[in-house]
Amino acid sequence: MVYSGLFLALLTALLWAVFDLVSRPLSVRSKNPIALSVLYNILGGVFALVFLFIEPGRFAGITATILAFTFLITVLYGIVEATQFFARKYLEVSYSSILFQLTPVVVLAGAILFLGSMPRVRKSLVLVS
Amino acid sequence: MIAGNIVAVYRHGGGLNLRGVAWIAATIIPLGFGFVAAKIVFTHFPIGFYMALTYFLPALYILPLIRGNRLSALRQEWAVSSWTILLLGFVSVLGSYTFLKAISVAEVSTTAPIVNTSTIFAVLGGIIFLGERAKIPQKIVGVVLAFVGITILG
Repeated sequence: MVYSGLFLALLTALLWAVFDLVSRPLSVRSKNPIALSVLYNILGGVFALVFLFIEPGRFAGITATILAFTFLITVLYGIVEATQFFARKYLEVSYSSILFQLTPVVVLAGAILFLGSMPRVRKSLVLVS
Repeated sequence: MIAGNIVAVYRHGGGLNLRGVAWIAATIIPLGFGFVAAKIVFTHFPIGFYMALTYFLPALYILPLIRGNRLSALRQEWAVSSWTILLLGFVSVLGSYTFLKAISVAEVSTTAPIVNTSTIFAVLGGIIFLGERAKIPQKIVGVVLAFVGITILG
């Protein structure tokens, strides 16, 4: 179980690095980074639907708060998608990938603000760092 | 982490694109807050549904930001990007899936440092495959410092 987790983690690292490396030349060539982002998200959404068939799963404990947070996430990711290809257009991968590692600092601030206690903050940081 | 970033981007008279840094800041702030909120909600949905939602809805929100004829802008990007946009979408979704699965079968404190080696792979890949040869020692020291910082946090 742990070994499969470690394998999946390594696979994730490789896939994220490939994403960084592929997105840079795409962003540089792009005439309209927002259109590029819309296209990428539509294709990503289609690929994500495949996982719905591979692993159906189920809805559990959906409350108004969960729906509100889900909406908030999509809005925040909307901002990310509106900006990330501009960042990748102007910065080399070897800079942008290091700068993206500052995300946990933002997570720390967010976790303190929204999750409160330090153990939960630490857990959030580990999750996304 | 911060020290790693300072080392990586410190410039001796040129090289760093401040406009790029501003765009990165505009990206990582909502991304960080999005991660915090995602931790609260993602287990409540089927994984494929959650991922589809987080791709389709942002696309819908930013669609009005495209200036001029949207359809022709999308067609133009499709023509310019060719098959690589398909690869990008596939890699992104598969990466999200393997990450969510990894943290569901193993301790996040174990998986997080491994996941963060992506920065090392990306920096090395940038140097090797994309010819980003400027200030290589500085970039390597920066990435190692950032990686150590994140591993200590884990």
